[in-house]
Amino acid sequence: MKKTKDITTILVIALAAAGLLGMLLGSVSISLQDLISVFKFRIFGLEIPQSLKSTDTILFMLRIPRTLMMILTGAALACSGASYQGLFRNPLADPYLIGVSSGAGLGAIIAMSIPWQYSRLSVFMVPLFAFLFAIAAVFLVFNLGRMGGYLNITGLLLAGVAVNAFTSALSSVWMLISGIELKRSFSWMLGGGGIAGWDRILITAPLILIGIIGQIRYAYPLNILQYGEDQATQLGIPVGKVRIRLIIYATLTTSAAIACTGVIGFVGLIVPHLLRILIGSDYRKLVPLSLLGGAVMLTFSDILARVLLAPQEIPVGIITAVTGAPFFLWILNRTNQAKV
Amino acid sequence: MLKLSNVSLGYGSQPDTLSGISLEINRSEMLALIGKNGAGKTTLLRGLTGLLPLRSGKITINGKDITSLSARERARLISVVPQAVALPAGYTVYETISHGRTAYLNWYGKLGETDRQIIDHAIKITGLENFTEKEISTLSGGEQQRVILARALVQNAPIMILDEPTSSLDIHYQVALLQLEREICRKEGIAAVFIIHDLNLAARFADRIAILHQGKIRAIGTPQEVLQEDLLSEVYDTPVRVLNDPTEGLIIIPRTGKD
Repeated sequence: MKKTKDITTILVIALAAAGLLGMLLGSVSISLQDLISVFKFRIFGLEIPQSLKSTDTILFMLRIPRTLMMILTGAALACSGASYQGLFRNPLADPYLIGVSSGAGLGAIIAMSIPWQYSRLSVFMVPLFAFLFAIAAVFLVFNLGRMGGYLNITGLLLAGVAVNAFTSALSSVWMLISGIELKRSFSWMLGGGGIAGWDRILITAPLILIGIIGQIRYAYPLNILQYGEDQATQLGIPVGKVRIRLIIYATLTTSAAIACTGVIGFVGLIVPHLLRILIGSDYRKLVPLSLLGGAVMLTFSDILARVLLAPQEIPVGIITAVTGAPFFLWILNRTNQAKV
Repeated sequence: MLKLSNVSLGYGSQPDTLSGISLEINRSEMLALIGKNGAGKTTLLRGLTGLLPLRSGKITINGKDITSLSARERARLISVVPQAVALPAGYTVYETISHGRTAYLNWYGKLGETDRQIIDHAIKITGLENFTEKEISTLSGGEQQRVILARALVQNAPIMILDEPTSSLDIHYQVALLQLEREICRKEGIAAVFIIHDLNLAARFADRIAILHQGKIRAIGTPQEVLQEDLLSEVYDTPVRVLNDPTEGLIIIPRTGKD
């Protein structure tokens, strides 16, 4: 109990620090003093002096929406990672590894390439397509992974690899034939969305929020689902209903985030897994704390992406993959040892 | 209390696995289900717990038809002790037992005062007082089986169903678990149906035994009535001897031909 409180406190402080650094650091650094001044002028509705005009623009047009987007996306990915792990009863179920992310990616790329009659429409269509393709991918993985009977780690991962390879190939082909701008869409595929504007946040945030609330709502039934379908039913959980709803909420959360920032992997794997080691498997704690943890991890990753090779930017998906892949191997090893 | 009238059950498009099953179990009674592998014991159990829909017939508890109940309503009437299973790691013994209260809790699974009292009572009965804060995977098989029993107990259901509860236990825990179960049935007025392969344990602990054979109830009655050499030899397709020990009662052994 106390441990949970401590970890919450640490994560909240880390998130505040990440948010602050996210505003200060980048190809142009902003001093804390300037940041405070700009906020003062904004809050009191005063005219921004000429000397701070560019700082104000960088902050409110770029840094703040981008940092907010990273917070939202990180929270979304880690939260759905926790839910998927519970749903599949598998510590390796990350939105990226089970094909949800690349499915969403394909949907988003298709939506981006279509010349919608009204340009506003595309802002809605990208998340919508992402969601539909992601749902298709998750059901595909679920059914493929179960083909040998029950859902085991190998089956799930293999199905995830297959669906990932398939949808990524389709995405590439689509990018080539549809005449969509290659550099932009490629960087987006690697999780370098980067171009978060306020309008995107306004559309994405409510979707992510609905998805997250839904996942918190079903956190307790998810605890009971860990006993498997039969026992959960016998303990009083309507398994089919809970499972479908959780898949929809988790996939909505993931695909909304991905439609905005691109395909970012491993956040949904690392964060819930570390938290599980620290606080146990109660999803009522794990899901909300994963939100915080994911936000912290992705915001810091994004800062790294901006400053490591400044002024050039690295797609944030690369940062999470470089840190995440070794971690993945570590978990795989741990899981295998636990089975012996 | 629990009454099955002419129940038939089956899978997919296959013919009935079980048909014409009628039986009745009373308060505090322990009924053992025995029979060869594939005789339909597990199928009957799945029908009782709502995992397999009935093809025909009716199941009632205290006169109430349970066929169309939701999982939640059913869990308040029937609790289940499954076959030895790997319990999810990461929960304490207390948390695991508390999951038996799911059918009474709100969406967040918040435990109230009554819930805690019921859980404490179950912990006491099953002798798990010193384990409550232990992580479940650190317990031995026998201890885990007691946790599962406690979890079923807090469901506060009038019927408890046990699927080969002793299959993975050594002889000490087998006897201990069934003694505990009998005590629970007597004290709490619970009716128990349990699948068991060990005919000697069935003879010791069951009030009545039902023999399933080829999808039907071949015989039902007290151990003395049912555990007959001819009958057992027939349904198990193996020659069997039944001895009567003056202190221990019936002893069932397979004949191996070394007369």
